[in-house]
Amino acid sequence: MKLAWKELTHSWKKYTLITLIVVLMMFMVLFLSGLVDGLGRAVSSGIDNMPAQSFVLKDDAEGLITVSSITKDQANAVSAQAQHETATIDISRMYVSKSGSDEKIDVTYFAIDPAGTLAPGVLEGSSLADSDSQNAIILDDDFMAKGISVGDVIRDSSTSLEFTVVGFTKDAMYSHISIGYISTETYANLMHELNPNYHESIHAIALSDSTEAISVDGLTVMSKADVINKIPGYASEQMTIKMVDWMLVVITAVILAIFFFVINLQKEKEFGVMKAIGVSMGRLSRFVIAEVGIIATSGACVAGILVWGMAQGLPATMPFYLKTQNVLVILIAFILISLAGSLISIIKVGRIDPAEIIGGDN
Amino acid sequence: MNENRNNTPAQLSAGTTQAVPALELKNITKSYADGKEMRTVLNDVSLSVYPGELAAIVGPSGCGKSTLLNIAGMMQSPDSGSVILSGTDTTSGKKRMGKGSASSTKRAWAKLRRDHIGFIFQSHQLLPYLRGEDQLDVVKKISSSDKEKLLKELDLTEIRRQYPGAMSGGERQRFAVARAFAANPDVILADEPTAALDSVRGRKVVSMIADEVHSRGKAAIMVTHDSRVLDLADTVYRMEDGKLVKER
Ligand SMILES: Nc1ncnc2c1ncn2[C@@H]1O[C@H](COP(=O)(O)OP(=O)(O)OP(=O)(O)O)[C@@H](O)[C@H]1O
Ligand SMILES: [Mg+2]
Repeated sequence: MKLAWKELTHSWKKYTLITLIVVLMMFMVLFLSGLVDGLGRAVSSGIDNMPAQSFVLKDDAEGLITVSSITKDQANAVSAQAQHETATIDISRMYVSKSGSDEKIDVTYFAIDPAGTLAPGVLEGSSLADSDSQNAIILDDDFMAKGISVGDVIRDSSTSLEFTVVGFTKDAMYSHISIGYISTETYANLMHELNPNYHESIHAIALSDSTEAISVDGLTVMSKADVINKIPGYASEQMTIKMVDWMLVVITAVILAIFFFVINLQKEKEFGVMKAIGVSMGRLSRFVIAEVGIIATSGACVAGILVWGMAQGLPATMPFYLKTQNVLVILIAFILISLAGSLISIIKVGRIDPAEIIGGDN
Repeated sequence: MNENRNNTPAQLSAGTTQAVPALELKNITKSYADGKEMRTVLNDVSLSVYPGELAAIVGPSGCGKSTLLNIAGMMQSPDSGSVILSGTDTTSGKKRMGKGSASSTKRAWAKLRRDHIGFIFQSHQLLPYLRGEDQLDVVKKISSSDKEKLLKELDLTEIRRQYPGAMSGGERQRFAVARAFAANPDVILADEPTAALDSVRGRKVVSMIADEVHSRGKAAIMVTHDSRVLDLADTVYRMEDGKLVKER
């Protein structure tokens, strides 16, 4: 370890350059990781942030809340069986416009019971329950960036039903679209406007306890993670970016391993001398591993700090979200793979014959 | 297998002739494949070096001097014959480089080299990233009083904090000598230690080796081409046609 440190500091220019490459590559990896989690949250945060553990859906809905439909009777049966609190949720993708404007803005309505567990936390303004406005709506703070503020009136594009914006919440996205929370009552009004023959039904019921055993004909219970995975695009999007990300982790570790292999190849004579004067293979292995470990760890740490620093400066609308746990998993995996890669150098060193040092001219 | 047989290096005072050689080569034979034929480089070579003795080996290029040092230094195995280190036959038991456990043999050799042998190479072979004084700790960590003494004796105290890159050839080679003695080995093996130096510096290095050998009671074998330093050696051997002949 001491020997390794002395060599690294003696040839600090060479090793700083290699560390720099590691920093850049790992920065890219962590940036992608932040992006994949940010995008993931842009799809799932509306569901993810709910204090629900699982959801009751129609059993042929294949996990899609938006196509599930539960009758009043079934819903009553569910709440009768449930030991803990339940809450209904309806999700519907529409457009709204600011009053006096024709510009359509995407919105996903989340219809909930204002007094129930799914009511969103409010960042600004008042909650649905506290507001006495007709057809109140609480919007994700993305709408703020679009010039809407508390007290504004916005219009549902297809029905011309008007909502009063009573508050804002944050991190409320579903399938890349910002959420507007309305009461189940307002939602029924909306649906009646849209279709006079609308029969009141419910998309899904959120359960607040994962041990809840619900058994109602035609309904099924799915965990929150499964429901999120079924959101259109979520699984494939996550998988693609994650795969690229992990490939980059491995590629970075392999590049580092190759760098060290080449460097150690150039040091063949030094290793031969050390072997000749009796330095054990164990010590030489520790020397090689320590060098790789120091470079990999310091590169990974610097990249982590840089990405974290950059995340502080990114605009809120950018889908970027650093999950500490994911960052740590990536950095530790990178360090471990790099250490494993140092094995090829160790094998090479092991094959050096010290006999070639004696009598060899320099 | 029979390792613990008599492994303690003989505690011997300087200068006196002793019954137990520090290093004894017995009937060493070594040949290399030269095309289709085998060429015998060492033909039944025997040599004993005693504590406090500096033995010089001279001989034409390619006659097998380095091969002999490699065998004496546990880096190559002879085809036949034995290497006896402080009374312990290192070739006994299984054949050196025996089949099957090549890696355990290598490990055992590395330990023998670490504990009993100090090497001085033709070119200094210092590690470029260590200061002069740190070179002495590579094989084994040595006490600071031992280090001071060694640096003083080799006239290196003033440049102890320099890196090899900033030293003269003679200084480097003196550090290489210091490194060889640092781990307190029984035997010093030097292969043309003055080849890279002019005659004045070369002589200084050899005389320092001789002084250390005598004052510390070590046995040393030095291969050299420089006949002007032979007067510093206690015994001189000439190698020719695979045979070793004592000249003096
Ligand atoms: N690994 C090897 N394979 C085949 N032949 C070898 C090998 N090592 C040495 N030889 C041969 O053995 C002979 C003796 O080599 P060695 O290096 O011992 O000579 P030397 O006396 O040290 O010469 P010099 O004074 O030039 O250093 C040479 O002819 C060399 O070609
Ligand atoms: Mg030679």
